[in-house]
Amino acid sequence: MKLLKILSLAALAFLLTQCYPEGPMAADELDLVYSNYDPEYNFATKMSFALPDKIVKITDGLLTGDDPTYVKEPYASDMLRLISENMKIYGWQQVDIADDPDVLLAPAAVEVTTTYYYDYWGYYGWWYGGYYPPGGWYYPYPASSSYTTGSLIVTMVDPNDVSVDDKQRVVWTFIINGIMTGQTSSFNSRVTKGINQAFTQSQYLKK
Amino acid sequence: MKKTLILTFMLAAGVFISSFVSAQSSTSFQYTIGIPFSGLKDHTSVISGRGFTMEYQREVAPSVTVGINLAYSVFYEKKPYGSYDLGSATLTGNQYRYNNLFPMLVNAHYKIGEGTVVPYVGLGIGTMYDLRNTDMGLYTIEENNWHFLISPEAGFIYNLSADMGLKLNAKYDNAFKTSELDALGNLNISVGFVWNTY
Repeated sequence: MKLLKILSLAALAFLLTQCYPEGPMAADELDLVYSNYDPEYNFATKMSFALPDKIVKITDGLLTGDDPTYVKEPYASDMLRLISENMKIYGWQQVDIADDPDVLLAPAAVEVTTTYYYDYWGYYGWWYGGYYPPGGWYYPYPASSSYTTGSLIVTMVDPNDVSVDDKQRVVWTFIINGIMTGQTSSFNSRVTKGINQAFTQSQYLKK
Repeated sequence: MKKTLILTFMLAAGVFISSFVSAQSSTSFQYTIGIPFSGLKDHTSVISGRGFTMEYQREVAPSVTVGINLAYSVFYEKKPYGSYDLGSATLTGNQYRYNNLFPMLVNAHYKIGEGTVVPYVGLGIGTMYDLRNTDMGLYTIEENNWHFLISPEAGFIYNLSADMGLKLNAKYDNAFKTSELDALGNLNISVGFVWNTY
């Protein structure tokens, strides 16, 4: 009977070792497209946008004052082209920063594990120079405060909507979480799917 | 090794049969399958094969035992790539949903008859802790809830010897609605061993 007890306990111990549910197994299974916007903002009356020709990397060095580094080509151009195409499909017109655009798009890639990016708007000035006020920007809606490494973050700002403390209003944000991690071979399909999805789920941008 | 295998086979086949002997107390340990209902099914609709149940019972009157019942089950479901709205925010991706259930009961059993196979019915009352996670990307929405719990139960014990038996039962955990979460239902099908002490 003692052996029987031992056997029964062993059988139950075996059952207990059955593993916890696995969850995601590959990098693309973690891909997440997040978007948020200001419901009070009237997108219908805005027609033009400006977009820089580089995507800055948010790195630890950048946060401590080093010169900016950028996402390498052709990846940056591919992503910027996709963003531009989607904006145009939705009825927006791309113009130069000097032509007084209704909104500015600020793309960035996060290379640190987490960063309080939403308060970190300093790189914005490298592209938009005197077109951005020294106060940076503010979010009229709850903003995600930290992101994982490899995320693409695009912020839409209205440069003509400035608060009393000299901050420009953020009206739309999208994040493709973790898109710059994983295999290079799948990058194009993942980034295309992600950026297109960001616009698909942001129908309020449509003219 | 061969002897162990034979004994295991004999155990599985229920060869060890002896006359029933009334126990003063018993402890059981069972593997549990969970079938979700109501609010639990709305979040994770897949049957859980990951669970166990522990129980202690003490005889307080002929055919009547009272004791405690503790269990754990984890429900998991991968939702397909899709969009989910949270206020003005929208999240799109694969969703991985988990419910970790910890029912804790004070319960009573009533045994129907005596012999090698002893059916019983029971009822438990207590609480259930539900740790619920909804994962997207590397983010998770975590919810913690304590539910009031009532659990009717029925099953039988197959006595292998005077101090040990097999136990098979069905228990329905009816976890009441909380201020933040709907009611949950979980039908537990459990099989395992019971050890008697005198």
